[in-house]
Amino acid sequence: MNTFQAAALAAMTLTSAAALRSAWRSRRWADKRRLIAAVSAMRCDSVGNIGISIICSGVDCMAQIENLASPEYENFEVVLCLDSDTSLRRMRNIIDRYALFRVALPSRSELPVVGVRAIYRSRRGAIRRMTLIDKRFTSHEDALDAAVNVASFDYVMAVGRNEYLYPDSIDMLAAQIGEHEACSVDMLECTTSGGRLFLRDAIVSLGGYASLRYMRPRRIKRVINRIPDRYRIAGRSAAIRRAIAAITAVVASLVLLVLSGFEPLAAALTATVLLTVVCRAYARKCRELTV
Amino acid sequence: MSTCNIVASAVADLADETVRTTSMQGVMQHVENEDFSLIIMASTRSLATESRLDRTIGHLHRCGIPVFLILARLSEQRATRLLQCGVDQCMTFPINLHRLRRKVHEQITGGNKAGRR
Amino acid sequence: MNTAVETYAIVTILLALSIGALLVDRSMRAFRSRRWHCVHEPVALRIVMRTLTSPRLRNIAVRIPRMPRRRLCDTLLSLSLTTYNIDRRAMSALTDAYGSERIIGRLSPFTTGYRRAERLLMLASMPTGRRIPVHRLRHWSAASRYIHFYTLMADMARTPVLAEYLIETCDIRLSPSEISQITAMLHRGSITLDYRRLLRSSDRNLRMTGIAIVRHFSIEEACDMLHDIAASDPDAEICREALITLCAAGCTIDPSLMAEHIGGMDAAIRRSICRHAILNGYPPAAFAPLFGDHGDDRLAALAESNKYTIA
Repeated sequence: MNTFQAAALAAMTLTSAAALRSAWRSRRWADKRRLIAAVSAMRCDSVGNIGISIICSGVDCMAQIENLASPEYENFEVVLCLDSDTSLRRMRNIIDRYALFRVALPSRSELPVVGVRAIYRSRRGAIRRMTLIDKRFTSHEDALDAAVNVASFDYVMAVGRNEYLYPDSIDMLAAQIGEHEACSVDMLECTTSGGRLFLRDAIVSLGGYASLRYMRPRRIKRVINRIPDRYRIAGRSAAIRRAIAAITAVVASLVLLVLSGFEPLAAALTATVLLTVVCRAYARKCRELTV
Repeated sequence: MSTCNIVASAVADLADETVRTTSMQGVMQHVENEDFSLIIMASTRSLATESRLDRTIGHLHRCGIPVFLILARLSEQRATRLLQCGVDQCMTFPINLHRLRRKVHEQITGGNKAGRR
Repeated sequence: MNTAVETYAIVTILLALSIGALLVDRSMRAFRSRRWHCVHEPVALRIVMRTLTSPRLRNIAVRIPRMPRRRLCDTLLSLSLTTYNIDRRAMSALTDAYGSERIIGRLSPFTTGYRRAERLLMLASMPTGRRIPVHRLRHWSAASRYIHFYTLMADMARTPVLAEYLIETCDIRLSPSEISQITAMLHRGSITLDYRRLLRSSDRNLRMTGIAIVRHFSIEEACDMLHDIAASDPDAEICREALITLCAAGCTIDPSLMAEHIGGMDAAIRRSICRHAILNGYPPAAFAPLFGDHGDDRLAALAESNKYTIA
């Protein structure tokens, strides 16, 4: 056996296996998501008083805020942190849209932050899920720490710009957290989307997001979640670029196949490229929202 | 979608005219153009952001159109708030079909007698 | 070597074609789903509703025109999950005629993962007159928890009188999500549970279920029992749930009865309890004896930030 051929075959087999694994996993995640959606529809109560606060820094896109505020989950809130020096008009839009009212600034806070000018909360009777902090911008981590200070619930999760939650993400996260003893899990980490759901006391004891910037949390109880909880809206150009890359790869492998005179190795390479492209497209389709 | 179809089919034979299902955004457009005896909003998922829902219900109430609301979860505070906005009936899933039909029948026949707008 | 490469190429192309077919099927699903919801489902539902709401038609075999069986089954499932007090005999007949073959066909020993769990959920939620065998799991997998739980739900739906026994002998530690699904099943009338017996039980699963029932149905008469549980139960999680339920119900809580018991709990759980209490309108000072120097200052900040400001 030619060493090069053997190595090439091994590499192609590994690539195919990885592509198939990714497609299979995406299908399992889609199945799990569909199951959770069916369960959420039948459940009439929030999950065991597990409360989740979504905290954001610099998020002022109304479509994204609507998406973040949309989960129909009882113990849930969104805490936004903006700087009125740069986003005054948007802040006013948010205050009008959600009928926020100004509340007292707390005299004490768990995490040290500076520059908080005002806090606005939504009215208790209507919607207890929107809080807006007006803070002088120093860093995103600082803003997140300010949000943690006013977050009401036991778990906090940071969401960045252009990150949107799937419809049942909060239910799914709460269900996963609930599988462990109360307040025993310090962090639920989504390895596919990079989202981290922290127990509020754990993030406070670590020193806040400002400290996490320089260190990786080690001595905390971590649970892994592989199902993506958020997505980014890629523009049309990204979809077009992906399509062009896929078509280029397939055409290039077909050209190589023809030029090599239909060599078995070239045929294997073409088959591998084709399988990889199809598996990636299938995985992407499974992650889409519509069923 | 299934939820709306279930509610619509449960009350379809009670109405003289067509019972229609539409999206939240479509409600206001239809209300401007047509006459409705009753609007039922049903959802097991996110209906709308709550401030928008309050405004929509308030507008419908001012137009004199009765509104029934059927949601997945409804806290006491939220139910009180919605009733203050102008909702005529608040219910949660799971619903009793016979009770829903009875309430719709009472609303339609009682509303016809009293006159609308 | 060439044989191995050629074999690999053929197998890979066949795999690519089959996944391509799945991709096309999934792409068409959105279109088929819309078509079903807009065209077929209203027709099917109208026939079903007429059967369920008209006493004259209940004994007449209902015939639904030729429609996608899988979608019809999903619609019957939605109907079962979103309503209660429907005529179980009529619903059973409909399920047997149009739904159960799909469930039976999919509940073979070879069905695994979340799809098996979904079929079991259907079996638990839709009344059926047929006896459908549920094969027990042999190996533990990622979806096993869901399969175990929905097997329990299916068993409870089949034999409602044994619901309490089945929960007590369940292998898994029921999570709050699972308990809320049991509560929903209770709400729909599929099973019957006595919350008093559950609260007096020594089993963790039963007690948590009892507390969830009290919270869901806002049973004020149970406040005293919850108070006793909060003051004496050795399980911190059950104490927490009992206290939070009392706070949500707005009951009077006597902290002095619980001071010694809760004072020994984990700080995170104590703060969690206090947070829930503040969000339900209890003043932080009322809980100060329970928490000593652990966070009552910081939790007071939460209370302050929920107050109006005069500006």
